[in-house]
Amino acid sequence: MEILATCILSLLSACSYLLPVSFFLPCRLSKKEKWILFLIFLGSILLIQWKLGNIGVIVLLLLGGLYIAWIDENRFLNVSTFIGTYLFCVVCDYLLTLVWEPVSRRIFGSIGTYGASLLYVLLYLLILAAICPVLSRLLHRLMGKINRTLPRQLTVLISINLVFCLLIFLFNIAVGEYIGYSRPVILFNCFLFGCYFVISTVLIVNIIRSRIENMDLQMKQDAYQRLQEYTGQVEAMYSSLRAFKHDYNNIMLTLSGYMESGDMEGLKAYFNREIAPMNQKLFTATSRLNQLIHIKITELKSIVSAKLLYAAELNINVTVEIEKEISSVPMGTVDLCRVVGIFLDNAIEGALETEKPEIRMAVLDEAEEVVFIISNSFQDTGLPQASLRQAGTTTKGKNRGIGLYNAKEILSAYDRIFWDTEVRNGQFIQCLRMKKQ
Amino acid sequence: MLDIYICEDNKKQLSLFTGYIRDALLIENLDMQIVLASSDPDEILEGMKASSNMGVFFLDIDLKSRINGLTLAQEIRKLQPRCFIIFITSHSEMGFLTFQYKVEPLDFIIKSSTEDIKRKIHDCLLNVQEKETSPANSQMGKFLLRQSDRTISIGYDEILFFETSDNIHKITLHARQRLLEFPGQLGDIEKELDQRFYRCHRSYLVNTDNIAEIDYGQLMIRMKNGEICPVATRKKRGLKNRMS
Repeated sequence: MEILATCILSLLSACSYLLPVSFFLPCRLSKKEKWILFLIFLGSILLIQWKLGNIGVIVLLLLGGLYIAWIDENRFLNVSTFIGTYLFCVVCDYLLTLVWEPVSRRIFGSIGTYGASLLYVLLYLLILAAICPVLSRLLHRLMGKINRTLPRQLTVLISINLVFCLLIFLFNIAVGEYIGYSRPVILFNCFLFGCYFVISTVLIVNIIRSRIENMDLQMKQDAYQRLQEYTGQVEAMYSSLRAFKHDYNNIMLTLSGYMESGDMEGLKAYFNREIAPMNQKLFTATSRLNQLIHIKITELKSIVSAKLLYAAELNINVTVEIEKEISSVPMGTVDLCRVVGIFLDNAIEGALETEKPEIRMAVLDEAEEVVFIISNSFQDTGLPQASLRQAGTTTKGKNRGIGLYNAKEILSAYDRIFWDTEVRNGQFIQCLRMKKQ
Repeated sequence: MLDIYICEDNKKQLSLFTGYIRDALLIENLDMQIVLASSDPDEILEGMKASSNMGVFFLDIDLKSRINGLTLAQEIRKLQPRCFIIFITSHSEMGFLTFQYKVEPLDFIIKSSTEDIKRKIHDCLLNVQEKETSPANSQMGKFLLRQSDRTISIGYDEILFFETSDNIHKITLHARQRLLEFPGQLGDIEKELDQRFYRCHRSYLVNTDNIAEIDYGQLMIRMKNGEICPVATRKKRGLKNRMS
């Protein structure tokens, strides 16, 4: 009877670990993986019950952590999540015990310890099942954000924090073994962990927030600088126009002089020498970018103009088609700028490898969508396009190729933006369709 | 038999282009006929509604009429999603990408020297003929993706597989030369396609014609271009049957 009850209890508590773990992990577990995890949990819990005592938790964490690290690429994040989930379970357990103790003593005196613990575990499972889906959704959203904004250093710090928490906790249990768990000890544990959790969470959140603010500031500064470059270009265009106006009168005068004297040969020579080259000078690369004035989003305008001017300086033939005013897009400006920046960088690098480098960019404002198209001439290397979007794949040598992977990460957060990559007639075309709300 | 339509507001150029096309048809003995040459876009639209043949359209962009060449092309595309559209225009700097996005023309012919135009028209017609008679078009069918104001068509033989994710309702089409995202459900697409496509996984729909090899141990399909598509354990048997 006793053994049976222990077995059932262990089964249920293994479930109580598996449930939050499978919910919180960033990767999706297959059925087989869930079963194996379940068996690992069950085995370690049985060990804890019969052999090792609470030190056995180390076995559980070690085995579980190793298995999770083994099944998925994203080891660091997964193991951290696993440890975090374990801590979460512990805190939940403590909290529930705190409420449960007085209640059970009063009401369930009659059904025996095993009955009471069985009821307790069942209740615990139910509560977990209720809160885990909600929490996991929140967590995944947070993780997506962290992934995109936080540098690796900071994630490492946060994980060290988690590990420390775990160490203190393990120490706590080991000591708890000796003194035995009494109500004050549980209270104390609960208090300790509560404090630690609150403080570290507040700290982490604050660090993240200040980091994001910093990044925003950085972005704004960059945008400002690029915009100044653009202003410089516009001013240069304007002054060349003014110079032309100034010359215009002189030219007219000279022309009429030639005509009055009937010097047709002189007129021809003058035209070819002075006027024809002037025409060319007026329509140089910069003037082809003038459709950029239709972009009314400052940050976007700054990055697009900076990159395209840079491209024009590298003797790439740049064409811009923006017929209508673009004043808002259904996408975060920071994200949009990053993605467009990545596309343009790639377009410039790709175009430079060809004999007649060419970049075209179009922004269309349609009835139901805003469309960004960037196309460039390129050398076809025959790489499958899907692989270009994976981390580390590139046509440009080692330790590169993070760009399109980042773009994919950013775009996957938007379910109304559709990305189309195409190779057609020697052109590499990136197209983003953003559905208006 | 393909129907050829020409729309150009300048009468002189209209007859010139018509002459070039007639010559090319005669020289190459192509299975096409000139149905209508007009300066009025509405006449073109009326004319094409009367015929059931697939059309080849030579359009000027600046038509000096109710609508311009771009709008006309868009209307034509709505009526005949798979027809061939060729723009003949004097603007070399017209919004190339804009046009390509909106109507996917077969080609642009810039009005330069008459000799050039004649040659380009000739090339275009040969290109049309090749596209029309290639086995990829006649037997294998195309996947048509209708969007609000345009239709994308991709030949079945180009498609490697469709992929979807569980939480976001986006489908990614992996083709040889294209990676295209669009909204939708894999189940609906599966109904639309023919026998060569197999649902090898909850989130994957694979084109069995483009499989290079299958690793049943690793549960992976290697496609002809090297991309990898996963197989679900439960779908292994079905895939084996389909491949044998």
